[in-house]
Amino acid sequence: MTKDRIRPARLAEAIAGHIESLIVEGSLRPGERLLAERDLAQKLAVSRPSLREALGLLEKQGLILSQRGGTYVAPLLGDGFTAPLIALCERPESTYDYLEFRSVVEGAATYFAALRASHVDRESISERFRAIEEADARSDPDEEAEADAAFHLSVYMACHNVMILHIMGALANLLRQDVFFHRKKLYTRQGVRRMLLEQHRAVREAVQSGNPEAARAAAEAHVTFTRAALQEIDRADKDLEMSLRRFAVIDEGR
Amino acid sequence: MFHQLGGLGDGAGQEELLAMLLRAHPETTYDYLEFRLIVAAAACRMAAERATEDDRGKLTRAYEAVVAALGRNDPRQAAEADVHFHLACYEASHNAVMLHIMRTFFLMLCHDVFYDLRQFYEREGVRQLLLRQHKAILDAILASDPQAAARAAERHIVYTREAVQESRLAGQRLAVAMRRVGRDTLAQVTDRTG
Repeated sequence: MTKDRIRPARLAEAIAGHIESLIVEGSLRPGERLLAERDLAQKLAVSRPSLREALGLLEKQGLILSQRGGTYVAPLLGDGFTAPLIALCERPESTYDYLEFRSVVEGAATYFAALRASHVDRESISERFRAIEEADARSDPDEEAEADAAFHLSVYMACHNVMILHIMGALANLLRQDVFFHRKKLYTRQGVRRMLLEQHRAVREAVQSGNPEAARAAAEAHVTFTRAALQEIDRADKDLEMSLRRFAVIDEGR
Repeated sequence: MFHQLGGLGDGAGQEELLAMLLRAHPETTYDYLEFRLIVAAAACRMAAERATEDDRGKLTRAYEAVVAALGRNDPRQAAEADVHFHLACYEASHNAVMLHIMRTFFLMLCHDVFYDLRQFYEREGVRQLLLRQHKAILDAILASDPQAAARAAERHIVYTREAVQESRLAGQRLAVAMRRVGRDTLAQVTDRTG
């Protein structure tokens, strides 16, 4: 029965295991910088040498990276996932493929959030929504785009499905880099911004009231609107280009 | 934020860290299957709406490859053909972003991250059920029936979830049985308590 031999757990391995679980559940997120060693040791109530050994184990696994004097959580979906996606998104129709996929997953995530959100999740969603409202009141499109991404992330957290959380988290990072579309285009339009705000409010309210079907409908309507708005903006841009070209021709004709 | 860190820690062909994490945390299998259920139902609905003649041919051939592998009694080939069948469904959905994302996870699955599909194909009863479920998906897409295609995809994943659960429980039961059989190494066994 050698298989059942009991091995005393080493403290460093237990700490590494704990940090690993924090990454899986999304308490620690890819790209985040860990606390300084001394503070982290205090937080976890372990000695610094044990923590250092644990961080060494995690680094060997590739889960954390030492960079510019800090320790960061590594991206869970690396270049093997993102590089082909970025290449794919050079085709303009990928914007709509992304939004179609997003609508499917966002609808389900919001549905599950309405079913599963704890009071802590609900508070977090409300807080993130207030941040959008504040950015909107200040008419700060960059800040509002960031608050928007954070709001959606809080919904993914509340749906309590780690696959959805990690995939949509990775996609949110690409969204921040404007891989799928230029977010500024949306937020610099007053009317569009107002509509997006109301849609986020509807999502928040459906989740808060624990109504899964309404939550799904609100999320899908939000993505559908984004799609329609981008289409309109694209068309307006093309109209503008055409007008400019016409003017150029007239100019040359003179 | 992490894009500023550059392409660290993931050389070409290296497994995604997420795969390693999920393998270390078997409870995440059910999150994966829930995610699959959502996306597969949508993909099969789209496939029923959008599949071209080309897609239909490909799907039919992919299904026939599963049948042929089972005819040869080759669970390994059957499992591989199974994955190709599902990828053909995603291709027929004509959503390139969704195809890329799902392909990433199917490739993870090939490395037995969550469960071993080959084991399912080794069991006669399970094999017939899987085959029938694939046939239902194929027929619905070929009949251009989006609702039926979504339902068939959902049923397939719900069944897979049950099969995974059963096989895990079976594994645990086997371990308990083996410990009981080998209990004379743990206690002074007498015939009376046998």
